[in-house]
Amino acid sequence: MEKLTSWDALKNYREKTCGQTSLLCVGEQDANRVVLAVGEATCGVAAGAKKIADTLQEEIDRLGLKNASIIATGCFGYCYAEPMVEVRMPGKPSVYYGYLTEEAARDIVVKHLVHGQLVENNVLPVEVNIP
Amino acid sequence: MSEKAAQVRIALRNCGVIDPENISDYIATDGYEALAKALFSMTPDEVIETVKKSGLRGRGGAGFPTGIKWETARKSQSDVKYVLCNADEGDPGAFMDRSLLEGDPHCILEAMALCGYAIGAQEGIIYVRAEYPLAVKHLQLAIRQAEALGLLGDNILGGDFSFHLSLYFGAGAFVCGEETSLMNSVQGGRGEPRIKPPFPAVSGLWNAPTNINNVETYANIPQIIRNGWEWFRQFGTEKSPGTKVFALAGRVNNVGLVEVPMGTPLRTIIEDIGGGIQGGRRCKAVQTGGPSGGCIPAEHLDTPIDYESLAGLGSMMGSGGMIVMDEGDCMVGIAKFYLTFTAEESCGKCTPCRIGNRRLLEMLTRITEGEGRMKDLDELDILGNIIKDTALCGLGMSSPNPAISTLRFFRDEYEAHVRDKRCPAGTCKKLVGYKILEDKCMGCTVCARNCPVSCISGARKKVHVIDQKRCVKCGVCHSKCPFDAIARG
Repeated sequence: MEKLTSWDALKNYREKTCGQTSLLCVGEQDANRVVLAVGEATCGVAAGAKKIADTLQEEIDRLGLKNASIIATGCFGYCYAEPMVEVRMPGKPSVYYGYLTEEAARDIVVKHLVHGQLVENNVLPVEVNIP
Repeated sequence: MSEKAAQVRIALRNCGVIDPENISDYIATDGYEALAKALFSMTPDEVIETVKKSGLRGRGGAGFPTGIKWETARKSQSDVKYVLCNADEGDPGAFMDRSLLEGDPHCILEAMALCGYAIGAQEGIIYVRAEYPLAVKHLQLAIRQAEALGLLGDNILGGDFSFHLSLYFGAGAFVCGEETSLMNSVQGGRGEPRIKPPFPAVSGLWNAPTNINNVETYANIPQIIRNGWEWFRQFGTEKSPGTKVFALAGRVNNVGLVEVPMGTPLRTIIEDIGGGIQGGRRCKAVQTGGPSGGCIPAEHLDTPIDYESLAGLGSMMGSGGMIVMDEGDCMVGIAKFYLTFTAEESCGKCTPCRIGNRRLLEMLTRITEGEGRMKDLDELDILGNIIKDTALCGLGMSSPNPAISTLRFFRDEYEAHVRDKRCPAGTCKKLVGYKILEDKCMGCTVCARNCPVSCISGARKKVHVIDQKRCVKCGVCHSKCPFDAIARG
């Protein structure tokens, strides 16, 4: 990596890497990307998040969904509902799923990612204001 | 994301949102923008002035104004100064710092570099528990990534300012969360506190001026610098601006990490965010501040959360542990649990803490075992206050709080233990016994099948009997009996 040597360089870096982060940018770069953010802090891992992430990946591979990727985030604070995953699609509000089992994980890939339907039983009401 | 949401996330804004192992994710959320803004458009004094005006107070628990700490460290003349981060989270049940370090490590790095620029330090150390392997891994990775991009190290972003960060692993002693003990530990000495003053900002690590803040305090800094102090002050109260992160645990339905504006009533956290008490039972008390805090009874649930209100109730903000208790929790037992912890963790340097806490624990143990005397209750209060007044460091000065506050609000429960030899919550094993009521027992065998030590006997459809000698008083039979035929007393 090349060192950033000015404030402008930092700003340029921010724009340049926009399409490579787990946060979807508005615009063409990310128009078709889907990101599944699995909470993999110590609490999530203890609740079985690694297995859920593996299951999601297997299902994505099986269905050949090339635009979907899985990232590991930290703790979202909803420990009671771990393991959980946030489904990010461009231009749509995030959907948070909790109390995941391997079966529910497979359901999310098939129903939500492929058919655009919610997996109702696992949807979490998330009310958080990030100013 | 709801605008009316009870939770407002400033410190936790990236937690669970970004990929903590990818610096581009952090930069995409305006990461390191505050550092660039400070380095290229603000003087160190302006940075300190912004932090001062924001009214940010130490989130480690004591609530000292952060800006004044920084200013003192800046004014101390020295060639070498240090920036320390206290990530030695040790309260039982608290995990705010761990989640922050695991979920958003770069934010702490950026804040420490900002502090270094403000006070004139070029070196920083994060004192992190070795028991937090994932936090350590993410911090190490974050430091390497930031150095590779020129956001840490020599000549940050091509300017004149250089700042180097390293980690120091704590071995898990609770007292090392006290700042002077922590610095002794970093210097290779025993984790023992020393008398203040001199304060670390004047003479700290290796006798150099040192600024030390808690993880959550630092987590607020980049946003205060980037958005300005007026922005920060729109949250929270006049005397306690901003938000506070709590690790919500105990008998609530939704345990987890919450961040609310200061001044939010305890009730909002427990009922709205926490989803109420499990099994529809009633809240009895809330413990805040861990081993240094106290129990706040349910009638004070409308108290707004800020440093002064909690201190007024004999508790404290603490680092942010919040344990909710219901009717099944014994207040004397809770006080004994915390005293057991602090007596164990006392470093032994000063007499009030080393011996006083031991005596407090003995009294509490006597009371929970039915051996207590009425004068123990008065002595508990007197000795507790003597320890608070005379102990050397924050550990001893706050360790009697759990006992003093439960005695203040739940004296009747203490008296029941002493006078009636009875534990109203039914958790003190020496004071509890289980008996099968002959007129109610249907002989369904549920209790006998569930007893972990097989001490209940009886034929089907015949009255069952508990062998009192072998009974371990676990209470499983009492909770499993479908006919309420097992009495506790």
